[in-house]
Amino acid sequence: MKEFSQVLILGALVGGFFIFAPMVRAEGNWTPNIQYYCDPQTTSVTEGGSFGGDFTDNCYYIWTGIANTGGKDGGLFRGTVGNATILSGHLLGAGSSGTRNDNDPWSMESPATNDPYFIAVWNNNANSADYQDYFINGGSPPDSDYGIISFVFGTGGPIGGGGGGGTTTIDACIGTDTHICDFIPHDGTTTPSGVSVDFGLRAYINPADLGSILGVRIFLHNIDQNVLLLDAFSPNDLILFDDNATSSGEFLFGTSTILADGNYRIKACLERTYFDGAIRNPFANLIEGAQDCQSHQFIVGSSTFIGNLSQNIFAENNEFFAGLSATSSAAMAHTCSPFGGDFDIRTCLLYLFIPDGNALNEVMENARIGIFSRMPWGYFTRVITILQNPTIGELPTFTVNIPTGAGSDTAELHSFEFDMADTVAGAGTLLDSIRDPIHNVSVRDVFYPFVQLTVALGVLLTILSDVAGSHRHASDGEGIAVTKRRLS
Amino acid sequence: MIVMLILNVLVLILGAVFSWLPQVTTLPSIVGFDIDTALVTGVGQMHAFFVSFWPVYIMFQGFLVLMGYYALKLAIRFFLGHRAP
Repeated sequence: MKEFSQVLILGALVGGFFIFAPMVRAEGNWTPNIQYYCDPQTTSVTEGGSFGGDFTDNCYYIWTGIANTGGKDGGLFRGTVGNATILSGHLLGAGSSGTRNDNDPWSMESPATNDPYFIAVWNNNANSADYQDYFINGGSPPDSDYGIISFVFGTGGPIGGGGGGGTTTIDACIGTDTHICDFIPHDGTTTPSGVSVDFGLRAYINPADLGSILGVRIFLHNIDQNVLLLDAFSPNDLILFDDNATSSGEFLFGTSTILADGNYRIKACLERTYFDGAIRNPFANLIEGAQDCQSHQFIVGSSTFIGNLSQNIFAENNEFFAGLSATSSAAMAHTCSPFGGDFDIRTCLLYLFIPDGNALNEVMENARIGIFSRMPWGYFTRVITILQNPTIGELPTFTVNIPTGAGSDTAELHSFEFDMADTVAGAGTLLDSIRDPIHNVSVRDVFYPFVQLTVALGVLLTILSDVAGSHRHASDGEGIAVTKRRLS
Repeated sequence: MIVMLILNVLVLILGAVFSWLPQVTTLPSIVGFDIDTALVTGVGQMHAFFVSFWPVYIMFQGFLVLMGYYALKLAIRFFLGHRAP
């Protein structure tokens, strides 16, 4: 009996193992090898644990002893695996072990106690988007090369408050427009001397921007700023990536290399191209109002004087030409006063000589009203104003009465009405309805940038030839005058 | 600041110099024919045409830029005379 009961207990244990084992999900092979915490914490949150206390957005993703030495991605998610929202995404780096220090938007959250979150680290390869899809929507992961730490929010909270205001620091590389999501090194980072610098680029390519004619060129360029101030002449520039996008969706690139000590700038660009990159149109932006190129500046080891000067000038020029300027004389005086705490000669000179955009618009408007609208040149200004007016008017309707009686009998009239608006609009609809069956783009979508480029080049060449022709005729005139004086 | 000051002073001086000239708000009428209304109507209908025939619109924009250049050149020659480059 005792032996029978022992067998029963053993059988129950074994059976229980096989029944309950599938409920214990092994979330990736890397789960035991990853850690996560945020300043000023010093120990990682544990699987199923509580994440709390006072902490900042400055967080650390740590991985150790992972056999796969390729690139790795990491991110913070709100919710549970399969039902989550991605809050941040990072290109962590390569190697079997490493630490990535980056910002997670905790200060944008208003977490309550026991709210579920998790962080994930996954393989940076062609399936990176599939891993993210699994974390967010569920299903099956591409493989087991990932790790997850699920936790709940405890007590305390992000330092600096939470909930609303500001913007997410890292773009999670989702959306519909072609754009640069993130690239590393980030602006202002410093890498110790002799340590490999991780370079990476994450971008999203909209399918509508790729086709047999259309294309996107992706460009990642590292500029050494220590030698000369002009990056075009720096001998140590490094083209990290320069190629056409081959597929839509998320684009990832990563590499690492050791750089000499000094100041650097990394520039990432997305550029519109045609016919597999044979033609580039610098006049066309991929998305309206956005920059095609972005730059980050970083330092390796010890910086140089020329490098610091170049980086500071670059940063301040970007800041001022982006719209920031001193419109207040009090602010300017504070910056230009040698006795003030904010005195900076470079900033002071920029304030003094670079006009503010809004103030400049006001001056031009005053000039238009007070000078350019005066007779007689005011008539020319009025013509230009009318030509520039984008208001769409109504096209006329013509009515033609045709007598249908015999000979000169005008008793019977047949009226024909021609609606120009209907005719023109109909023609436009017909043109737009002709679409490429494979890529669903219209004639306008394909040829608009070409026509724009051709017209722009034509106008530019006409102006340049006129300028060159005027200068040449002026020179000939002087030569003739000299000859006449000699003869007399 | 300095550039804005110079521009403001320049606009102020020129505005004062030309303030005695009448201001033009509309184009004149000739023999009862209102040129201003005709031009506004014509340009509006042209824009309606451009909505469908967009290549012409781009060429029109280029034409405006070119006319702007010629107008600027004319103004420089008018004010500078033989000293114009």
